[in-house]
Amino acid sequence: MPESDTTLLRRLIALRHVPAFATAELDELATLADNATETELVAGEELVAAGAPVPHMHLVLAGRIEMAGTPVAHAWGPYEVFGTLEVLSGRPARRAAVAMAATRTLRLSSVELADLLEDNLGILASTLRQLARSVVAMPPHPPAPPVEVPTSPLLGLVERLILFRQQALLAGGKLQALTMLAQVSVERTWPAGAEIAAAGSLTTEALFILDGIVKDGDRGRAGRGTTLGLVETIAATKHATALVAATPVRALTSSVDALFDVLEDHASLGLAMLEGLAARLLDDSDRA
Amino acid sequence: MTAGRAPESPAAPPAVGSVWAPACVLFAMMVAHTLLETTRDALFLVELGPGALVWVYIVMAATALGAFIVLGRAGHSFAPRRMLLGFLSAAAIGTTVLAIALPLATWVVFALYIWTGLVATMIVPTFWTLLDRSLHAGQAKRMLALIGAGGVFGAIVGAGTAALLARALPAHDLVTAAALAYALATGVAFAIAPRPTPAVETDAQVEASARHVMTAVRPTAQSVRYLRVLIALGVISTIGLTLGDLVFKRALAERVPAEQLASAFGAIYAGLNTLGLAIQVFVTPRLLARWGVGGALVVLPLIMAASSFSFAATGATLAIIALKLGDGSLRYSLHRVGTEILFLPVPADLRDRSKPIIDTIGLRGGQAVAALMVFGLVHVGASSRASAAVAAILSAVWLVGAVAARRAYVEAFRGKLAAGELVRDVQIRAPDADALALLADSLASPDEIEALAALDVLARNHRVPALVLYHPSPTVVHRALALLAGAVRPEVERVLGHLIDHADPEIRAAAIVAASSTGTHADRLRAALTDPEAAVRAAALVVLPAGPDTDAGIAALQAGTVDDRAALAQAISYAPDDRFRAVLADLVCRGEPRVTRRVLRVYARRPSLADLQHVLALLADSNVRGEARRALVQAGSRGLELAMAALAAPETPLDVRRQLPRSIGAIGTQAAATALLERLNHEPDGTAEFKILRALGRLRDEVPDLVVDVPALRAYTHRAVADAARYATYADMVRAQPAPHHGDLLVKLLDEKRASAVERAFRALGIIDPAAHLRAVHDAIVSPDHARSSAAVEMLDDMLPADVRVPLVASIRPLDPVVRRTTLGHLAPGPFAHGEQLAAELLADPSESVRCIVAYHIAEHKLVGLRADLVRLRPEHGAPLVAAAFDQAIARVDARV
Repeated sequence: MPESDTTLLRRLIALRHVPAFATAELDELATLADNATETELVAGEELVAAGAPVPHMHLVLAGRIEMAGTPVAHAWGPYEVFGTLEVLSGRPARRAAVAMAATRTLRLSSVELADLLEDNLGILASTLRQLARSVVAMPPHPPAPPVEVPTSPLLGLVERLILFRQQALLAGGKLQALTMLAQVSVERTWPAGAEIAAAGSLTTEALFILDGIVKDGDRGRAGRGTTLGLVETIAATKHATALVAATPVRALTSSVDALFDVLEDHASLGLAMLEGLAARLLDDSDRA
Repeated sequence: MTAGRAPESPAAPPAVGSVWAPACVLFAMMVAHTLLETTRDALFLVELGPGALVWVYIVMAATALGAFIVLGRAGHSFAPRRMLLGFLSAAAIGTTVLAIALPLATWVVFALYIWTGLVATMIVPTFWTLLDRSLHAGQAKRMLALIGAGGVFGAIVGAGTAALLARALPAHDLVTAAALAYALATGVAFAIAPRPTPAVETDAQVEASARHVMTAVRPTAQSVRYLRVLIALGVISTIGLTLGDLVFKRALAERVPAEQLASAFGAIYAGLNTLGLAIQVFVTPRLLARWGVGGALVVLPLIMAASSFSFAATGATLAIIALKLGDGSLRYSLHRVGTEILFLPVPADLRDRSKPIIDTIGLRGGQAVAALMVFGLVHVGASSRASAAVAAILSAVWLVGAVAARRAYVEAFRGKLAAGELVRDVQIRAPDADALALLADSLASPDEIEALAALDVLARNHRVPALVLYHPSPTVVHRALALLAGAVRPEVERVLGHLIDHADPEIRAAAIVAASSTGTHADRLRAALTDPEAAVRAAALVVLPAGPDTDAGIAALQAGTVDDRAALAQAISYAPDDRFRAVLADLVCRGEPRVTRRVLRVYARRPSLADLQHVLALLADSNVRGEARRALVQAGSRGLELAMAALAAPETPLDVRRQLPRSIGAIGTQAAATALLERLNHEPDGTAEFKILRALGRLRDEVPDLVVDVPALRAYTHRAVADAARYATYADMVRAQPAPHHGDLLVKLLDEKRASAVERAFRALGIIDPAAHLRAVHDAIVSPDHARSSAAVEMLDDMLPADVRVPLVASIRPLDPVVRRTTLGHLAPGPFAHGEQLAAELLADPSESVRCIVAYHIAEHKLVGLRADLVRLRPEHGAPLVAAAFDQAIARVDARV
């Protein structure tokens, strides 16, 4: 706990620089600030060893932290946060991280962060969007293999649950959260040739394709068992290309409003999604 | 997130097999100790007489000081296991020396008495310290009783051996036997004494998080206070027991011939220890489970007080026998276990250092004080009965001390949990001088983010300085103007001329509105009517007097683009007025989130302009929900009445109903709390019910003197506990069934339902008693950390009545299904003869998701016999998806027929 109000305010202002916290309520930031701990590192001090767990995120207040890597070292300077992906995904540090100069940081443990994200939906939503945008900005990589789609002509609640549990980003969520999402998701159909989403339009819903084939601009085709737009919906980005039904298409759609409504009551789903997004970013970083 | 996230059930406790090794060690130790103690008592009373007991206790107290220092130093340097082996070896050697020296002089008997006490002082606390390092609170309660039974059994064997040997051998030779027994105990300890469990962390991130580490490096003030309570209790209890013991020995010496004393003591101790063993095995665990440590601690002082008083009043031998019966059967069983459990809230390293010392001070200090009291009583010529009266008074004091210790025990656990608890719902206080200086510096920073953050904090306290309007960042200036909300102070007025010409149209617009209230720059207001930017035109139209031209301009903006309408709403927000009521109503109905949000901000500033019914409906739209809620809250009692009526109305759409609890809670009044409480036990929608609970919890935190309907909350708690019990039992029964495809779905859901019900119970209890920190208790109970989980369960013993606590804990812990069913009693549904009966029961559960999954499984398993239940229980109202699930299941069952 900070010793004084000025310390709390200083930390709060520093936290405001974090993109994920840019739109957080002041009281939410104050709660984060109050639970954080300031640490100091001398030049050359190792913050975390290669392969070691990363139990804390560090918002750099002054100084610089570097993680040796090829072809270029990753570095974190003032108002940048080290360890976010590792803390959110639970993965160990790929390489050692070292303070390159006398460095001051604001430290938040994974347990504290999880508790605070559960209590402060604004921060959870911001963090999700931030990470989702980073994933969207990644170079394209091979799509996930299609999942098993229940054969019912109309998906009931349980079939929807089974479908959601196969999605990497949703699989970690509690059944009650997925049930709520299943209840607010809508099954829709498009005839062949229909435009499902226009190029440049905001991505407002995720599509879980049950039948048919969707043509996604130059990216190719997505068929039964494929999911389109889940990350983009969270990221609130625009469709780069139009989505067109190459054949009659039946899909289960979950709107962004519905998704965030579920998160309001089931923050654990949000935490599971954060874990998945962070893991994807780390995997991409490893491939680079 | 994997790191540190708690599963909903704690992991299974360690195997009970780890009880036997320490029990055997304690058995061997107690055989030797009791053999020596029995012989010592007989030799002492024969050769030195009861009067010398006073002096021996005084000398023992002084000797204890030396032991105190040795234990303290040794505790720093050596591990407890090594210490125990060393002390046992020393006991064997020392007792052998004394056995050889005994025939040489009478004073050696005195030395033997001191030696026996010294050995016990060194060995017994060291053994319990070794054991403490391996056990958590929950394990302690289950295992200490059994381990203690090993000690009691050892005492029986030791006393019985003494009685038998005394018939054939002189008392001096029994000392040799005791020396051999100590040598044997040393060997047993070497072979099987437990080793302290290393500090293994199941999750390195939990270890690294200082807030969740239960071990304190330095004693806190609370720990120190608690240790003082334990010392006081130790001293008082020892005084009472010692006085009682002295009275008993004196009475026995008066009634039994000297040559029969050794076998008499042996027989009495053997009988008492047998009774003690039976109590240890059959009574102690049940009593601890039912009454907790508090109940365990009061039994012995109660018996001591009653029997001492009886002997003092009547002089009856039966009374003194009852006194010794209570002492002999309970001191090393129930009382010892209860006393050991009292140490569990103390941080491990502090416990290691302080327990031996506290045990020594308690035991030897108490004995010394008792001896001085006896000396005084003997000096004044007090009889055994008079001494018994003093013992009765002291036992009564002890009883009071036991009650106080129990309270302190719970507080110590509460402190332990609170040390790891997060600070939640932090509010930013009004800034003091230092904080204002910091904020002023930040406001002047060229860093836009820093300036905006400082501005937001200052705005909270209505301290937006005019100078910020000169900030180079248009974003900062715009935000400042919005925060000023048209309140034009003289210093702001001076800046207006500069701002009316600003490049940013939003700033120009805000400046125009501000200027209109000062009556200055009238020409520029008129010129703004033809500004190319809609925001500027809108601002001018809003502030100029109503007329055909301005009305036409406003209508044009209304009919224009989304940007036009947003600009119009923004302009009205600077200067809301009754004449814009119809315009606002039109704008808010168009379903354009950006426009709607701005209109709602107007309504928040001027609630009288709002159609609150429409605002209520907007709660369903997540894009504008926050603003709608604020507008409703600012409407005060009008908003509250509307929201309460909507919550009570069954026709209120679900997506609105689920937002009402938080909105009502945000109003923050007693009336809001009362309305929510009235609804809690009647709300049909589970999600809305949980939100009511959450809103009430927030209200309770924010308004400390809130009056709550405690009986209603207790009724809700009982319902939640019943739900938890039901789902826990269902999960057990479903697990026992053969696993179908996707079969884990139902078990997982039932586990989640159980966990949700447990959480609801804790939230309700937390509303009843906010000072109890029940959120921390709940988090700890479901934590994978055994120490935290056990500590939290200990606290529940004191906080909750048995009819809530027992089923709640039984629903949380990973119990054997049979044990859980027995513990839950009538709260556990079933048992069911076969799976179909279970499925039929689950099909009627209040939870829609449970019913849907069961319907699915009925179809998957082709349970044709349940078709009639599917038809009967198909819902007529509610979510269409649920009815569809039943229809699908019926269709699939029919297809298989």
